[in-house]
Amino acid sequence: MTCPRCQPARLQAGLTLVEAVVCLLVVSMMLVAALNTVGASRLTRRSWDERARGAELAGALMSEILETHFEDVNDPPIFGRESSESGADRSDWDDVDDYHGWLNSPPQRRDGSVLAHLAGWTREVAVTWADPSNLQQDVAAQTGIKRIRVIVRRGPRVVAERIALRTEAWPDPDVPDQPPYILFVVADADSPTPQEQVRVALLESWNRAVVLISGSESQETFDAFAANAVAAYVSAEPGTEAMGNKLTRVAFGIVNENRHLVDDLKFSSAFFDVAATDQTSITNQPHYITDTLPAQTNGDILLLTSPQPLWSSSSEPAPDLLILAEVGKDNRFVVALEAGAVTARDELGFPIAWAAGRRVAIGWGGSGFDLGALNSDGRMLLQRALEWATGEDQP
Amino acid sequence: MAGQRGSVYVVVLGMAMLVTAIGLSSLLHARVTHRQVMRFHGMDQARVLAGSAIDVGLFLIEQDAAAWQQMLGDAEGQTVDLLTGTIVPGAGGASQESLGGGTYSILATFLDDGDPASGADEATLLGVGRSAGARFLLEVRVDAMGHVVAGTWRRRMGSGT
Repeated sequence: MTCPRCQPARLQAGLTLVEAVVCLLVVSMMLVAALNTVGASRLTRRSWDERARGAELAGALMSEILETHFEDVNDPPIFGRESSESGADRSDWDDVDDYHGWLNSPPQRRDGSVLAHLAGWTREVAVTWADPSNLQQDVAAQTGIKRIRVIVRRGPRVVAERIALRTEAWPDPDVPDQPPYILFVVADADSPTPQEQVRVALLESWNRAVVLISGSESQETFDAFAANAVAAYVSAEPGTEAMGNKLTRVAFGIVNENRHLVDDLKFSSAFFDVAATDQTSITNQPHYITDTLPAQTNGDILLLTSPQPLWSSSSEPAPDLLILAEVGKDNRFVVALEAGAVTARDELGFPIAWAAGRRVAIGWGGSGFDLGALNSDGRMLLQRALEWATGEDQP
Repeated sequence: MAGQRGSVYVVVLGMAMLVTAIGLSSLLHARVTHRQVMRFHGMDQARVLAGSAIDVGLFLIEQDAAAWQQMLGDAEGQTVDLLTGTIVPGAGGASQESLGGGTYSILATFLDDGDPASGADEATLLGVGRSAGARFLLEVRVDAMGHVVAGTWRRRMGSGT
């Protein structure tokens, strides 16, 4: 015998075809909408990555142009390249209008070497005389103001553009007329501290030409001084941190001792001071800088003749950071970044920043550090760090 | 039974909300990235514009030395907008010139040596570059002849311009 009230209840327990179709429709519509959003978001993201890279390329070339003189100082100045300047690369271009009409694809460094992974990208430069009464207006006659326009394209599309002015009133920085030198960043170039003088003496004992620059100098002065530098060396003395990110973009190597610059030079987001010690250890990471250091049986290396305050780069290291030596337990004492190493990724893991050149951070130089306490291995570490930064490890 | 039937709709609604949340967070992430890219773009161009502003300021001083000497005498302790040649109450009152998708301003603040009769001996030139919401301030000291005083370039932090 069947219960008459059970029949409708059993029917109600299942889904009707209409309900199932409605559910399916709702979920499908939401999925389509969400996938569209994610797809569009990824496409947009690619375009923004492209713009970020374009901005880097445009900014780097503009910085290079603004390092040069308003007009040629060696030859009788003409607008455009002087007869002694080649068109093969930009290494002997010395005034802003030498760059007029420059177009290259893929983009190249100043020495003519091609920048990797940039096929299809183009950089071009136009330099024109600007009308003093309307600086956006070009004029044919000489006016004393040059407008510089750098355009970066990917295919036919303009990705980034930079515009700057350079006038005849701009003071040409007093760039040292010396052979390629180590640019030594100090607190005050007019009055180097005793510790900085010790460093200069050490560099000169290795037959290095050294030019001093104050960390507080302008970006323009840094750019100008960088023109003849083969590497930069940043002293740990208080005050050099004023350098900030003025050398972040240079393609030559940098050896840094100042713990306040670990963020600007993209090693890591922070540092911490390590209690005075003379115990450091090298890691298993094979590297030119540390390969010849004689480790003791327990892996330790002695770099100092007495305990000295050291520091460690901590927190959020650059993804491609190489840890070459440690102090204490897992405190990064010597770290390095190869040119082109990824220094930051976004939340999805996409690279968003790269090291423009080789970078080394040596964690000595905390408050009260005495460079005179370096033993021969400590001095060798510094010497090899400078050799690696200048590219002398390569044949 | 009625409760069981309703649970199907709750599940569907939950899934729909989940999918919506994923879509919205993706949009939010895209907006944050966009802001970062624009800021980087803007800051770099603003830096170039601030340098150009100082350059143009030095050019204006060189081109009209008489006006510069008059400012040294009359505007001690005050700030002059070099694009208009007028005294402004502070950096906030500067006029802006367009260039390269942004704007720039040039201000000269004449140092007060405490003796109104002698006029100013030095001034601080401030170049302000703005682009895509970013702003960059660069300053340098110039002497009475309008020449840059070595070692005085500074990136200035602050607001109000």
